[in-house]
Amino acid sequence: MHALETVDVDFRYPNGTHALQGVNIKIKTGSKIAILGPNGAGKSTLLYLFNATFKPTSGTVFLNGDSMHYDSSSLRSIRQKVGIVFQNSDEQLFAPTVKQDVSFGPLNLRLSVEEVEKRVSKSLNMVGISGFENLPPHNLSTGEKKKVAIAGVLAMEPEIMIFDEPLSGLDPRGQAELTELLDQLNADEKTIIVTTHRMDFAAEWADEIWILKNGQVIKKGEPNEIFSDMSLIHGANLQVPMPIQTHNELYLRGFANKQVPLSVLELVESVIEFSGEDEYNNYYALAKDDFAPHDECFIGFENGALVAFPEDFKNCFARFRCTEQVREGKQIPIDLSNIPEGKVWIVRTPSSLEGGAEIMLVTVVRGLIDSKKPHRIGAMGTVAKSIVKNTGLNYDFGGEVVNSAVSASRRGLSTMIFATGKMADLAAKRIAYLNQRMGEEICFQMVDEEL
Amino acid sequence: MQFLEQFTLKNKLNGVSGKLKTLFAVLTLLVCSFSTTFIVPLLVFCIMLAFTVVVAGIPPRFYAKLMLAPAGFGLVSFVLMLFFFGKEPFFSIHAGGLTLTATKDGFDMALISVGRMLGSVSCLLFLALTTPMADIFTVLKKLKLPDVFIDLSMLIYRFIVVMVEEALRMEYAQKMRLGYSDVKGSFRALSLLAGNLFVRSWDSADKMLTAMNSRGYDGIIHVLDDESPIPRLHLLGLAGFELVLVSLNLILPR
Repeated sequence: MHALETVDVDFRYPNGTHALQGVNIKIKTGSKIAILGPNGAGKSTLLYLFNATFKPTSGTVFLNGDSMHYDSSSLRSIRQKVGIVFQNSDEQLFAPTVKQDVSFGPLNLRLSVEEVEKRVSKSLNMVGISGFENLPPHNLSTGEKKKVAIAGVLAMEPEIMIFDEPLSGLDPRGQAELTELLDQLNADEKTIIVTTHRMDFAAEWADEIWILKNGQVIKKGEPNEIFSDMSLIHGANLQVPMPIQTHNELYLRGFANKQVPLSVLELVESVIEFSGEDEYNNYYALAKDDFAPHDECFIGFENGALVAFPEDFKNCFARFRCTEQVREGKQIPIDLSNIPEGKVWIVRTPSSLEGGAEIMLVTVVRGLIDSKKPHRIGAMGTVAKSIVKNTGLNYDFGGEVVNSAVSASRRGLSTMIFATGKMADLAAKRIAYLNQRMGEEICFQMVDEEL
Repeated sequence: MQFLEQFTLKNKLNGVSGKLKTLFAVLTLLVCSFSTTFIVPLLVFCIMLAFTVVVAGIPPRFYAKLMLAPAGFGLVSFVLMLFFFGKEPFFSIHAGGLTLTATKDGFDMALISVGRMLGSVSCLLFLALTTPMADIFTVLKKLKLPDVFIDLSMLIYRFIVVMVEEALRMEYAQKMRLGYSDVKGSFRALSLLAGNLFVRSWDSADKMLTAMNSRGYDGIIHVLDDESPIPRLHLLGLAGFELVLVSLNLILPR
């Protein structure tokens, strides 16, 4: 089943610009799609066609298999099903307060006031905005405005959500949060379509990539397919993501295997797999305590020097077992073949918080952390993040959580991931996928505690 | 950028119904401007001042700054009315061969008009400093003003800020390239800024309409309003307060 399909779509602007020429696109229901292309390729125009804001000059757009009609009742149903979040939030937010802005869409669907109230608070919760309900939009930061704009579309409960340049203008943390929100929406079975100029994001996030140029589709495919085609990428004024660039260099010089890595994690695995783990040069850290054989040893950088502590510390990046007696102040040899197993636990949290439930959860979460003693804590989704924060802890991984956890586990550190609702399944699937891609088994476990 | 608005969002009267605050300010304003004695407006001034500065916690310095312009205007009017209106002589000032005669009825008139003016301004400042715009729009809607009027005011309210921000950004960009270095250049830069701002506003209005359409806009802006009623007790208190003001007007000599 295709959520959206265009057949031979042409679009001309009134001023004569031929923005789209014979575009045929099929978008699978429930997938994550990135549309890439140079400025002026017709990406935004295409988005407007998906939402029936524009009517194709010729050709047809299909929504869930039915061709789009452009009378007012069809338009209402199309716009309920397909929501667009615009690039500039200031051009989307118009109401005097955040709450009023979010209520605009659902009220246009002629829903009852109670239902609208419910949807408004649900969507604001989902995007992680609270306490701003009665503020005017200009009192918010760019990232917060973006979230409110998303909540405004989310409140209409669309099946398909379209984001025009969702990451532009956000700080790195905001970008990580937004990427995660996109995953969370996708976990709730929404089809997500984004346009972006961020290649690393597209490579890691998308299921499928479509490349537009001069109003035409020049290629579609999975990220590794797309990004291994250098001439195509450069021809479309795009750029190869950093991990793939680095991989190419290493591969051509004989230091990596051929598989195209879509993230830093995969790049590192590719190099390690190629060179073999025994090939590590032994290196040394400064012992900050006395160590006996079989003692746990945590290493990391402190003021630029590699140091070893008997306990976990802030900048620690790996854990291994000592092989010999070392006194404090001496150099301790790091034997990377002696890395103990780092586990990953995935804990599912509820997908929304009813009043009061949070206090109970805090004890359960504390209990879990005390019993499993993870070295690192990850949180996926707004609810999980707020639960972890309420426990009085800080999460170490708030973005790219699964990759970070798997990376950490390869360095002997175990991670407990708290994941909101269906994101837990997503995390499990992702680890299974990484295991398969890397040909390694990371031990992970779903914790089925009643949260 | 300091807008008066920042205070409406963070003051100690935030918990009080916006409808009540609007009613309080507007009714008191009406009573004040129809007062026949100067005592009621002065009383109103003191009460509003207390509510705004003491109860709502608006910084006194900021309030004084806002009051400065109307107060200065009031002083000038007072002097003018005292000396140039009315017939009954009150007292005279002799200065350098000139004689200025103040009049009794001029004095009364000056007292009442300046009193009314100060009272009314304090009512409006109370409203402007403690009541968020969204609440005022709700009241306007309740008063059954035309949708077009309310929709337009809402959009203007939101986009004034967007436009000011845009204009400031452009001004910085111009200044960075020495846009306002002399008089002629200033005129040129300002005209460019104004023209550009117009085009951009047009453009962003267009984009906003697209965004609104994509959320099912049908010609009227529907948004959730604060439907919570004004507590009975507050309403009674307000009615009592206004009654006292009106009866003071009737009792006190004109």
